[in-house]
Amino acid sequence: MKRCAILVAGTLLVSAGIASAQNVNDAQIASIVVTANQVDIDAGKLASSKAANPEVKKFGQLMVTDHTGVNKSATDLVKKLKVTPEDNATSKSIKSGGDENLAKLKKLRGAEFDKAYVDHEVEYHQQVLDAMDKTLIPSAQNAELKALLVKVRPAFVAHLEHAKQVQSSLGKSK
Amino acid sequence: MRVRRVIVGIVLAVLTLSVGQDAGATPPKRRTHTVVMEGTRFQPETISAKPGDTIVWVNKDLFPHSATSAAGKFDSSVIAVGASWKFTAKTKGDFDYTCIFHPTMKGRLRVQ
Repeated sequence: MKRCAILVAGTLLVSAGIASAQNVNDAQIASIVVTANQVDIDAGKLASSKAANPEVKKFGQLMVTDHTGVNKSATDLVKKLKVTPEDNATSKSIKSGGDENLAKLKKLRGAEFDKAYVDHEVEYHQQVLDAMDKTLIPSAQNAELKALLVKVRPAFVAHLEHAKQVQSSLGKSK
Repeated sequence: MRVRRVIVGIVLAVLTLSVGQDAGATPPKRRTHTVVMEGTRFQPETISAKPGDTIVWVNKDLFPHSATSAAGKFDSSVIAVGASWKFTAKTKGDFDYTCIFHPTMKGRLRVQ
């Protein structure tokens, strides 16, 4: 119950942070993108070493690979555009949400870990998609930055669907 | 004079064609088709080819993909970012394939 409350609180915090992020500039968008990817890379690294279920382990590895690829493109573009990523309420909220998630996951083992990780992945990808659609893509000023976001968006859709598939397979295996 | 040249030309062309057909020497035109992997999708999702044609999968995405089909008996394994993989279609049929990393990516190779 307590865990559930923490999860809900964390989710609300991240949602609130993303929802309040209207009128962000490109430097802030860059920071949000890099932070959002990094948070999922960190969780993926933990899952790829700690998950009990092989599908969950594989999904964690995939998140590390894919989000590392996205972040490489994002940081390359940011350098090219000579933009310095600027911390903001949303990026800070994503970072603290990610830290809380890691702290919680580190205390869990086996099937409990797997479920908590995958549940969070579903929520996380949904939230990032919402942020992309409502804030990041509409606010991006630089055409190349906007194009990168548009190019990356389907990966988040694919990850969300994939996470849901893993989530339902975990439900069935109980 | 000009008319005769045209007639000779036509006769030669017809002869060449018929000889080619009789001997079965005209090789079927083998084409190369490209499927781009981008935006976590195969584009186009369905690619049509003839036996002997080559299909090239080019990864223009930001992370690795694969083109894998149990039905079509082909598997690129990992296609890194910026890399590509070729497959020559032999058997006729519709072969669904996917990316081993991203099960939501679906493609179809139609050999007819």
